[in-house]
Amino acid sequence: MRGVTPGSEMELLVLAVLRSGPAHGYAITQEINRRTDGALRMKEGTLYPLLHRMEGEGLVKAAWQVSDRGPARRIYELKAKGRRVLVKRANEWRRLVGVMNGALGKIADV
Amino acid sequence: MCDLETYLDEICRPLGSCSDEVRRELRQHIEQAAAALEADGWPLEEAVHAAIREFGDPARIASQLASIHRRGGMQMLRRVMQPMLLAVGVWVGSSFVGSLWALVDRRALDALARGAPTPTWTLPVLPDLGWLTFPAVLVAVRLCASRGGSRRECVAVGLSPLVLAALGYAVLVVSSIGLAALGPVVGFMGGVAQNQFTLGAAVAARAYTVRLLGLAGTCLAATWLHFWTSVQPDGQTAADVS
Repeated sequence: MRGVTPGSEMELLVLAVLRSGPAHGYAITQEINRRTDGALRMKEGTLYPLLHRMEGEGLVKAAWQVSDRGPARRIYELKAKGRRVLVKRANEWRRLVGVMNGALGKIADV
Repeated sequence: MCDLETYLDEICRPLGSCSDEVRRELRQHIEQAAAALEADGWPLEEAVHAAIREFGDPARIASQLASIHRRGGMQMLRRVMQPMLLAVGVWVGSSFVGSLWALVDRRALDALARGAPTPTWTLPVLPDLGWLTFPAVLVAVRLCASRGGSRRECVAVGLSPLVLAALGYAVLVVSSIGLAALGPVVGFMGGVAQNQFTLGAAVAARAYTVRLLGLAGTCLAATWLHFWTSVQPDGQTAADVS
């Protein structure tokens, strides 16, 4: 469970959102808010350092996309490495949740 | 909107040359957030203020972005330059070992002692370690890919020995032309026949062309092999797909 560190949950959420398809930054924050019912809110500006870091690590790629309906937007898309990291981290996260549930259950029994 | 520009200035100032793109991206986010609030009935100015507030502390965002963009240069070095050095290093190294071998190769020394007209120190008579280039290029391309390199970066790594060799070839051609032109002068001074210069340059150019073509095949094949066997996003290899 080495991959689960404080703060890495946001990266995991971003990867999970991008798994559904390419998206720009604002859409990513909206989707995270929707999926978590607003429970995991972060300052929206901190998303961009995270996205740029993930781009540098080769997890996502970004490109400006021109649209007829509005200004060009920088769209982020999951790369193959990002998909692999998503699967690995999601499994680690689920294991952690299982372990925590087990531990909390024992406490409840006492 | 003046507040928005001031706010973006605070974030982008430490970023230097990359700040234009970042600024454009952040502005779009804040404008979208403000437009959403405006659609909910907020006055425009208040909507922009709220969107900026929600975006967060500009100094903190600036510091995080600056740190990432500084690291970006280092990551580029690690991702591209190190694998490139590996590929080029092994290729140059294997050629260098061959050249060193020439100095102790009996046939080469004998030929030189006999005053043979052709430069027998050229590589065809030597043990050729050029085959090491293929695994080295393959490992270098894989290393680049494993560090998150894009397809273009991986191809650049794979072809780097070829680019260096082509540059070397250009230097050789220019120097051969110069040598042939200077042949009569130098030959007269050193008592060497003019045709020995021209012949030497021609033999060297021919040997280098053959090696260059071989290297092109090696680099292209190793790079292609990497992409052929690497895992695609859907878990398949290119070989599986076809």
